[in-house]
Amino acid sequence: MRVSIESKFDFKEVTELENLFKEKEWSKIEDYENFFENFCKFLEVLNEEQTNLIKELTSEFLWITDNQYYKRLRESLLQLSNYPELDLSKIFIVPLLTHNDRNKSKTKSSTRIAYCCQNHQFKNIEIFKGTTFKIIDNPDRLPRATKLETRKNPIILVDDFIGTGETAITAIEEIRQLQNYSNNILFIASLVCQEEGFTNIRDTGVNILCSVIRQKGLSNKYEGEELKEKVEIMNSIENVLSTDVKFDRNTFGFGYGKSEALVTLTRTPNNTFPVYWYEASLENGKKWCAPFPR
Amino acid sequence: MVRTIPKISKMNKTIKIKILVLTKNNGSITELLKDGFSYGQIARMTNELIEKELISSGHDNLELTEQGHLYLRNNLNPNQQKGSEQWILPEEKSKIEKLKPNELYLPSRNELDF
Repeated sequence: MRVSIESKFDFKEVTELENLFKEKEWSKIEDYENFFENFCKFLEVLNEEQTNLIKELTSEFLWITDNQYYKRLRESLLQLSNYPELDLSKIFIVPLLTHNDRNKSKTKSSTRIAYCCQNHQFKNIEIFKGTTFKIIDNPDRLPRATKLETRKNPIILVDDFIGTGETAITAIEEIRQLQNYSNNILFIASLVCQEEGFTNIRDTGVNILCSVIRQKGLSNKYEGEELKEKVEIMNSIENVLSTDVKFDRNTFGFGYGKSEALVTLTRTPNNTFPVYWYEASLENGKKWCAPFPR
Repeated sequence: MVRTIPKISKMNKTIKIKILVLTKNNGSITELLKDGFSYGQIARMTNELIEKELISSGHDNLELTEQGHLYLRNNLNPNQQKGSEQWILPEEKSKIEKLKPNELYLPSRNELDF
């Protein structure tokens, strides 16, 4: 049966896209065929300059799959070796959550990262051979500050992604209201961190351990007229998303906190450009083919 | 409408010729999508022809190599090469079994793309 379809792609474009995804090793990811199909459909609705921008941004896009979590977490936690004064025989791990998030009892990525810290593979790493990772789900059960300050056991708030750093800073403040830990033993650890969030947290004096630091997709890559032009193009794509009245552009335009992130993990952070994750209901009754839906 | 993507383990000759003809005429991939191929299959088949050096990557688009032109010359039916028939290929996928003189074929409205 013939299918009624009109494509704007020529053979060169479609092979270039396939080759880009091969280069990024996305073609090895499970169900890649359907992902590629959806990505092409996502590009089909864009005009030429929008398509070119998305191609440029996608070449910078970071996709951390489930099976890369341990590797990235390992890279983050290994940075503890830069703090020789610490006693690593016991490390306290707390999922990075604000009081509000905890009360909502939602399943969050930070709880998963905390669980990952119990991976037995850590025992194969020299500095963690004798380490006990103690997970503290309830902040009321945090060990006394005086006890930890003497023993120099680190307490680490963990998550998979840090965008603006807002949540992390709030979580630290809330924890300090319970136990006044010093910056010598208090850490934030994340697999991926936007540079902006990294700086905001570091400015509070708290140490941050992170496997990857990411810059803003547009503002840190382009400047002057070129940046203006690219911003305008991104705005033109978000105009399409805005035809869905549910799309909160003030909050999520260019990603939450205007983070301009180009990252997806098990779940895509809302700091990522919404064109990649917001499944807008369009006026023609169709849905926006977001390649990394939330 | 749910698309059924044809399973292909090996590119057959007609598809190969079709890609070469479309590439030669700077055509889009629409024709192959209409045949039901996925974007991924189209990309992989095209890459296969690049690897076999029948197609090369030009500045703005893909173009046939000398070997590609030669392949077309040797494999396109010479009787077919008149006017638009040079670039319109038989639509193998839509071929139906020969009907008996008193039989009538009425395609479903959904199957028509015109």
